[in-house]
Amino acid sequence: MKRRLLKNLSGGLALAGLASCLAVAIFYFLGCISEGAYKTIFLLASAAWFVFAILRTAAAGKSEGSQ
Amino acid sequence: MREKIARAARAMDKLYEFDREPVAIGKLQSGGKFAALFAGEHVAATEFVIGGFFVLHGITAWDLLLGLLIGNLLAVLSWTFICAPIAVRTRLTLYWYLRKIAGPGVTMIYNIANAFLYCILAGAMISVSSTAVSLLFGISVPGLGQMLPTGADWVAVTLAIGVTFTVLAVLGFEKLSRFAALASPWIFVVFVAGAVAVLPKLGVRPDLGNLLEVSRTAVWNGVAVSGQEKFGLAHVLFFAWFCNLAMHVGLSDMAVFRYAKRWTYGLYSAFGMFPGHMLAWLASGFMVAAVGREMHPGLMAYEAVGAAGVFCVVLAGWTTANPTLYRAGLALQTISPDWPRWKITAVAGALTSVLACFPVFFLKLLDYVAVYGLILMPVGAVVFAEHWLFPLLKIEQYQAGKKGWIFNWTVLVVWLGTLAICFALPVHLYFRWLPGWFIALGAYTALMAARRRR
Repeated sequence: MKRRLLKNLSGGLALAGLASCLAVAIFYFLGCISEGAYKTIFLLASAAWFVFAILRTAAAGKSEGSQ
Repeated sequence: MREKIARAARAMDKLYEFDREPVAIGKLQSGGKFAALFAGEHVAATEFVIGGFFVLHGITAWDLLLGLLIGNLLAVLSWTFICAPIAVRTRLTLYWYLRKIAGPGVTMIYNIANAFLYCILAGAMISVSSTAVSLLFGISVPGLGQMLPTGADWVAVTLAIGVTFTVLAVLGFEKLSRFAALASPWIFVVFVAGAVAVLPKLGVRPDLGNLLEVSRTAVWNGVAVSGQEKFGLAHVLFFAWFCNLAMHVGLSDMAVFRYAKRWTYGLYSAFGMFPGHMLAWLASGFMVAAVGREMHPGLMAYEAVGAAGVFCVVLAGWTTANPTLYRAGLALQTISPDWPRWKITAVAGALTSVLACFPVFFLKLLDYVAVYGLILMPVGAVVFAEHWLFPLLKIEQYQAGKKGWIFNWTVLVVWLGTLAICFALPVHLYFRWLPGWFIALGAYTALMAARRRR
């Protein structure tokens, strides 16, 4: 149960990271944020994607193993 | 000699033993898996180079759009009507099917040729990654038209990346492949976000009102960069079609489609061609225009998304070079079957790293992709003829397998003969494979039919 929650949560956060990468590029294009802010947020959102996607994969692997 | 080849062939069979049997019905995969596989596989580091080169070759925006739409559609249809039906009917990899048709000797030659071609391709990936790392150290990257290494610093960076990729491939292909699968969606996002972010630099207004005009005048303006050949609709159309020629018409994706429930699963390749190739090539076109039409993938990605872009180019190079090095190692193992996998992967990696130092492979990537597909294409035509035409013409199938031939000389003659004709054809390199495919198909069928009459 806990593993499933972790899997879903990390999956959702990973997707949010990926969506943020796209969103921040659009905001920069629209002139809402500066180039420096855009590139920093893009980097952080990218890191979030990798961290949470790896967590999700690990949680999915463990929950499959325990079944 | 014959005994030596037979022994090497037996050792080679052992390497591929795990996929000798046709895929069992219970192991067939869902369509979603094919969609994900294609979507992930067709966004690589080389997309930065290919899309950029379309701009440098002076293609116009409409020719590019039309060429990519038709060319990618033809590629999808090639997977669907040529590769997938044979894979679903046989449930075998090309290796085992070709062995029945051409004999283990020809299969071994095919494998070795494939290994060298893979090494060059992986070398191009490493070179692309080197452009990103060079940016960090302020090292100048080779300019258009340069064929030899440009300096000790470029060689040092390229070799360091090559060694790193090789060590990672040696340490564990399986686990790294799983990580690479995670990277694919992000790499795709980098292409899309990067293209969006460079639009203001190109003068596109936030309301997108002048997007088409900017595309036509500042990106795909129809003017080729000095020293680059002018491309038209036919060049782009054929390039998009033959970009994966070895996989669809050349049938090496039988290894994938043997797990498909139906041959129509070939249509899932559209997930690799349209959101993958087409979008990524368009995106890299915007990026190369934003850096003043300089073929520098590292700089293109850095200008578009910052430090994450540099990481993306290295990662995209690695995620593609990793399986390529693995496949090259597997294919090269046919020469020295007693060597362990790590050793042969290390040798393939060393060869690849040296090749990567020569910028010609990534600066002439479009031509190399054409040559790569062209070299392997006749084998696909031979298999197609044996599978579909022989039963219709009542020519005995799989004679090499049934009669225990080491070499089906007819296959070898048709393969080399087709290549000789193709290289002599007075048409552009990109257009040679299509007549070549029909020549190979006709010649192999005619020669095997003549043998039957004798």
